[in-house]
Amino acid sequence: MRQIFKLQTLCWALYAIALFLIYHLLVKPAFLDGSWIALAVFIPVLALAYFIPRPAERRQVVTFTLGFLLLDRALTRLETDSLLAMLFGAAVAILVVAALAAWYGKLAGNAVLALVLVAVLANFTFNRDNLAVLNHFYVKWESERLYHGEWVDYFPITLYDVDGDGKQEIVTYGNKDELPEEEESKKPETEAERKALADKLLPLKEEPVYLYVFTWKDGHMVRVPNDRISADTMAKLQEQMPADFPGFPYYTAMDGRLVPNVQRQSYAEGMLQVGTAPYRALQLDLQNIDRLLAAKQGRMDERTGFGPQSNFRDLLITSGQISGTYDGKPFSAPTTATKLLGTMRLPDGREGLLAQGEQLSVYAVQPDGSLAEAYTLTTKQVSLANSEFIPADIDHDNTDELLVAGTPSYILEPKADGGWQILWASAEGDESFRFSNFAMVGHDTEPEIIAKAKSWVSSNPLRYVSGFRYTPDGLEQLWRVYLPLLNIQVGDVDGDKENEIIATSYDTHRLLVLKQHDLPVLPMVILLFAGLLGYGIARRFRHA
Amino acid sequence: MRNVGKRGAGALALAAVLLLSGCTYESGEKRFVLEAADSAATELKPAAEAGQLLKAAIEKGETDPDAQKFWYKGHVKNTVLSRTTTIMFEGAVIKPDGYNVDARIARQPYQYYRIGDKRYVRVKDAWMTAKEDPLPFDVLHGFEDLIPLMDRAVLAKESDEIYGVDCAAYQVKMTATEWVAASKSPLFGPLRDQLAGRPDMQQILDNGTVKITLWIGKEDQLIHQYETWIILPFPGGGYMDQQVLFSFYKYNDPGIQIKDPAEVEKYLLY
Repeated sequence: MRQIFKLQTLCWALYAIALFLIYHLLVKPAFLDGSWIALAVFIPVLALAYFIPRPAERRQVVTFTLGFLLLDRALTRLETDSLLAMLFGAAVAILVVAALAAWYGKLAGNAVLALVLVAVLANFTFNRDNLAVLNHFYVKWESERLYHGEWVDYFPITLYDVDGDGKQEIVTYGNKDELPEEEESKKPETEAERKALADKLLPLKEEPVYLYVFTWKDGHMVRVPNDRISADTMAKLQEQMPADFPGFPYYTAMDGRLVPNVQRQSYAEGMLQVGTAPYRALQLDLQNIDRLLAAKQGRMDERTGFGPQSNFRDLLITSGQISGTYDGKPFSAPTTATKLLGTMRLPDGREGLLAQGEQLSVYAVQPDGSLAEAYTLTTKQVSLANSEFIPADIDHDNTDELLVAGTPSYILEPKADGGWQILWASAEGDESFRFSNFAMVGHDTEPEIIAKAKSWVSSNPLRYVSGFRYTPDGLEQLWRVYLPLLNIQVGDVDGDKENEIIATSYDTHRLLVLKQHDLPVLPMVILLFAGLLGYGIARRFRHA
Repeated sequence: MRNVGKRGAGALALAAVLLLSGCTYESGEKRFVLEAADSAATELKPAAEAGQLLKAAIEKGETDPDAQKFWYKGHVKNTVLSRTTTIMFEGAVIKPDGYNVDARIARQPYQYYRIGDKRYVRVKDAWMTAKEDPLPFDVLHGFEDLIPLMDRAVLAKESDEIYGVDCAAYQVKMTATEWVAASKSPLFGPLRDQLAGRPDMQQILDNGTVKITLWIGKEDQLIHQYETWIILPFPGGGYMDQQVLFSFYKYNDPGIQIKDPAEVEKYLLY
C-alpha cells in the first residue's frame, strides 16, 4: 500500500482521471469566473498539495501531475487539418512527455503508461466541449462545420416544427453539402495556370447558401433534404428565420446566394477619394435598400402572426402605415417602424405589438378599434441599431417586462402611466452582458433568463452563456457554461418534452445541442478534490 | 497573529464560497445612460467660419509641399440588427506618385498598390495585376462638395487631439434628403434619378439622419479627420447605423515610403 503509486498502474490511472476532472471541471471554471480570487484560493491549495507527498515521492507525483496536464493540453491543440500531421504531432508530444516523466520524474513504466493512456483517451474518445458545459449540461449533438465559404462569421438559427410531430427542427443556413471545402491550390507552373489562379483569387466571389433543416430521428440528428420540404413549408421557414443581413452593404443575399456588391480594386480606389467615401457609402446603402424593397414589393416588413396565443394577424408595414387585424378586426396607423418584433402583455391586460423603427414602439388597440402607441423607447434612451428586445414575464405577474439586450442591457417594466420602470440594468462599463432568451430549460417549471455574461471579477470581455433568475436583489445565476455561444435558441428538438439549448459559436458554423442533466457535478468534483487531498494527508502522516 | 490567521481564513472561505456558489449580478445604476448623457450635453455654437476653413484646408492639402505625403487609417462600420460588418483601410499616400492600402472587406484581407500607372492587388500570398479601370488619384476629391453644407456647421469640439495634433471639430447634421438635395456631387446624380417617382425610397431618406464632422488642425490648417454617421430606416431591420471614419496623420513624415513597383513585380502571379 505504501508504494501504491509506484506499483499499480490502475492507481496512477485513477489519479490521472481525478486530475483531469479536477482541472477541467473545477480549476478551469474557477479561474475563468473568479480570476484573481481563484488565484488567491489556489496558490495556498497548490502549496499544500506540493508538500503533501512524502519527500521521497514528491518528484514523481509532481512530474506525473505536470506531465499529464501538459500532455492533455498538447493533444488538445493538435493540428487537425490532416490525419498525418495530427498523428505526427501526437507522437512527438507523447514521446517528449513520456521521456521527461521517465527521466526527470523517475516514474516507472506503468506510471508513464497510465499518464499517456489517460491523456490519449481523454482527447480522442469524447467531445471535449462537454468539459465546458458538464457542470449542468452535456453535448447531445454537435454538427460538422456547415459553411465552407470565406467570410460569414455566423448565420441565424431558428426552431420550427416542420413535420408537425410535436418536436422542433433546427433551421439554419449552410453550404457544406453543396460547396466542397476548398483544397489548397498547387503552385502554378505555366502561364495558363497562373492566369487561372489569378482569375480565381482576384474577384470577391458569390457564395451559395441553403436552408439547412435538422431533425432528431432514431437517436441521431439528421439533415432533412431540401427537396423533401414542400414549397409552402419552405416559405414558412423563411418567414420564421430571424432577419439577418450578413455582409451588409458589401454583400446581398438573393436567390440562395450571397452576392458581392463591390470589388477590391474599385472599392479601395473609391474610398481613397476620401471626400467621396460617405457619398459612396450612402449610394451602396440605398442600392441595397432598393433591392430589398423591390424583393418585398415595397413592404418594410410583414408577418402572418406571432403564434396561436396572439390576437394580432396579417401584419404589414408599408408606405408609412402599420396595418393588420386584432381579434379579426382590421386596424391601420401611421408609423416610422420598419420591423415587426413580436407582442407583449401590457399592465392593463391588453396585448401590445412591438415594432422597431427610429424608436421602439409598443402599439395597442384602443377601445374604438384604432391602433395607438402605448409605450415608446427612443434612441435617447437605448441604442436601437444594435439592441434586441425580448418580452418576458420575469416576475410572473402576467405582465411582460422587456429585456433590452444592448449596452447597457435593461429589464424594463411598463407602467400604467405609459412610462417604463427600470427593474435592472447591467453595469455601465460592462459591454459583455447581453440577454439572449427567456425560456424553460430542461425540466424547469418556470422560464429563466438566458444571457451572455463575462466573469464577475475579470476584465476579460469573453462572455459565457448563463441562466439567471430575476430577484429584487439582482439576477441570480443558476448555471453557466464556459463556451462563448451565440444565437441561443431553446426548444425540444429530441421530442422528450424537455427543452434543450441550441446554439453556435462565433465563426465555427457548428450547431451545438446542450441537454441539461441533474448530476451534482461540481459538488462531486469538489468532494473528489477534498478526498484526494485528504488521502494524501492521511498517507503522509500515517507513514511519517 | 491568531486574529490575522482567523481573518485570512475568513477571507479565504468567503472567496471560496463566492467562487464555488452561484452569484448574483446586482443592478447597475437604474437610469438610461444615453438619456443622461444627452441631457448633460451643452448646446453647440454655430461656426460660420467652418466653410472658409475647409476651403483653405483643401487648398493647402493640394498645394502645400509639406502636405503631400501622409499616413491614413479608415473604416466603415455598418450595424444593422445586432450584426456589425466593418471594412478597414490603412496605408500611406505620396502625391503625386500613389498610395498603398491594407484593406479588409467583410473579413477578407487584401492589399492594393497603386503607384503611377502600376496597380496591383494582393490576395492571400499572390500579387496580381488589377484589371478594373482606375478612378482618378485624388485623395481630397469630394471635400469641396462639403463647403456649401458648412453654412449650417456648429463647433462640435473646440479642441480635440487627432494623433497628437490639436484640432477643432466642425459638425453638420441634417436629414438624408437635405444632404442629397444640397449636394452638387455627381455621385448623387443617379441617386436623384432613382428617387424620382419612388415615394418609398424618398421616405427612407426623409427619415434618415446624416451627421458629418470634420477635424481641422488649429495650427497646420489641414484636414486630420473626417467622420460621417448615416442612420437610415432599414426594411425588416429597424434602423441601420453606418460610421465612415478616416484619419490623416503624420503629414510629411520622412518615414513614409511606398515600395518600388519592381519590388511587387518580382512576386507577381499574373
